Amino acid sequence: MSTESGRVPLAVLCAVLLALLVLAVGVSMMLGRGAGGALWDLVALWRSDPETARLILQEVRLPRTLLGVLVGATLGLCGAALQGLLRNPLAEPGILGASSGAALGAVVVFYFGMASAGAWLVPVGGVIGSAVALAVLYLLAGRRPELLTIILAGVAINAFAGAMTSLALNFAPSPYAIMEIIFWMLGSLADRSLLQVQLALPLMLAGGLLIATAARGLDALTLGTDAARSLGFSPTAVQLRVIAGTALAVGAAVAVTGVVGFVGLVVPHLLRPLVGYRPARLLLPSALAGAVLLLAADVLIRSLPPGPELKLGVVTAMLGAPFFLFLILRSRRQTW
Amino acid sequence: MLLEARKLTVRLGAREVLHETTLACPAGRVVGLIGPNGAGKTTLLRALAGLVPCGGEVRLAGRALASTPPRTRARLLAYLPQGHVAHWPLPAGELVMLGRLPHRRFGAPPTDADRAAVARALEMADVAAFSTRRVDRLSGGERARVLLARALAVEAPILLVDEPTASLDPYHQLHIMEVLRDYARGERLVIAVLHDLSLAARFCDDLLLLTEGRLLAQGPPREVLADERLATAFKVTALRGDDGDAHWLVPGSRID
Repeated sequence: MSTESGRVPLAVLCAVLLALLVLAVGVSMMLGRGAGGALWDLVALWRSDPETARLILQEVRLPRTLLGVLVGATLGLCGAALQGLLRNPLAEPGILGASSGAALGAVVVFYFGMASAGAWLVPVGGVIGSAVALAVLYLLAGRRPELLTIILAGVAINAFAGAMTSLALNFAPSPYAIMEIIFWMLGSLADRSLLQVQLALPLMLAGGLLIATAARGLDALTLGTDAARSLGFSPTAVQLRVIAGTALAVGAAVAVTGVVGFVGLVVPHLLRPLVGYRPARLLLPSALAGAVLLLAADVLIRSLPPGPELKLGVVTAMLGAPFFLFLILRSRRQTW
Repeated sequence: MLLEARKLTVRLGAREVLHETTLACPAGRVVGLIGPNGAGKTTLLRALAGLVPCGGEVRLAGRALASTPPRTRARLLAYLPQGHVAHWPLPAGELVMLGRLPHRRFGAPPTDADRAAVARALEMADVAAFSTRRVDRLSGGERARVLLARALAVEAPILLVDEPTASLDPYHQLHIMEVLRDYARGERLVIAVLHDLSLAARFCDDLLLLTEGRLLAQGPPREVLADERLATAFKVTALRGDDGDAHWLVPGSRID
């Protein structure tokens, strides 16, 4: 007797997603802009100047690819976890304010011109920002957080972080600083280094692990908080783990790539027809699919004709926002 | 005694919603928890399940509820809240499998024992035929029985159910009550909050009558549902009858 709702066995789906991810990583490593952009250019460069070719692969494309995988997986995983926690398919990592908090933290670094002191200061500012946003969220929501309070606190934090970011732009010391802030806020994987990977990876892993320990609790919450508690799960502990895990992972992601929206919203939705609705079952496929989707979007950007590079955050927003609108329209007609 | 409570007191803010309630329920029985609206029935049930902070003491199979780890408690006691809640449209079988969470190890797939328990629960609640159908596409009666099956699947010695027959037609009300009777047969205890006095009289071995947070009476239905108690607690009279073994009553008229 099968009791699982997915039309595709989970192992098969994950294997397919993993294969797609390997393919996307391969394409991402082979494709670039500028010197050695296309595969044949790279091969030619490898023959004439192997040192430069190695440098391009190792210092430019490897960090970009790794960050694409990590950030995509983070956004997909956190989106699925938050939708499970809030029992609302319209939830998104940005809802907690962790993203905007991280963005504000990084903007503060730009504003005070500290970015020139060291690239590592930007991620540090971002992580501090997301941590502060989390702390404020926890103070606002209290020791026994109600979901509505969490959502409203997230709205308030988003609004405040947005206002502070605008203030920084308003009083920016130079046009150059404004440009730096705006470009960073658009969200991109370009011009990142392995340093950023090293800074983000431990935080993302810690966040992902926290969320994984809450997976069964998310399933139990399907039956409501009282039934979940009667099954031996503390809803407060589940909330705390998902929220802290999301803040850590998404905070780190935003800090290194800027704001890349809607991945966490879109990915679980695309997977539900294949995986089913059980929240825990959705987590791993969402992480894999998030990585594939983000890397594919970045490859698409890099394969466009030369000119000013289209920012990744712009692409995800252009694709994600209409999808969000479509979901709202659909949810007005049906419950799920 | 399978379940005992001593001087249970629950406060919501400054208001005392349950006052020093003491009760003891042996295995093998269906106990009906009755009382007018706002009497504290759900509060008492939640206190017995350890879902609300309370004064006094609850003992499950001899051990203190307060010092029982959540996972152990979850295997001893299953709780079905009112309202037939399912936030995601899972297939019925998958929803019932959630009842096995207290028995399953972290990250492990369901064992044969889990599958067997789910199959038994589906069978007992008579919902095996639509185990692959999404709960949002079932009728109210079917959905109520699927959620009951979820609680049955825990296979706990104690089952607490809050208004399991609410908003169901007579056929499905009888169906649910028969399932509860079946469940109690094997050395298990069922405590059910019931609004329907005739169902309570027909199907329960014992009744607990609660008014304004106090236990007014406990015992066999014939004693608890005596005229003067109905007048005090519900402000109604009763029309009664006997049909062989079955004792029945329906509300007669209001007393003002």
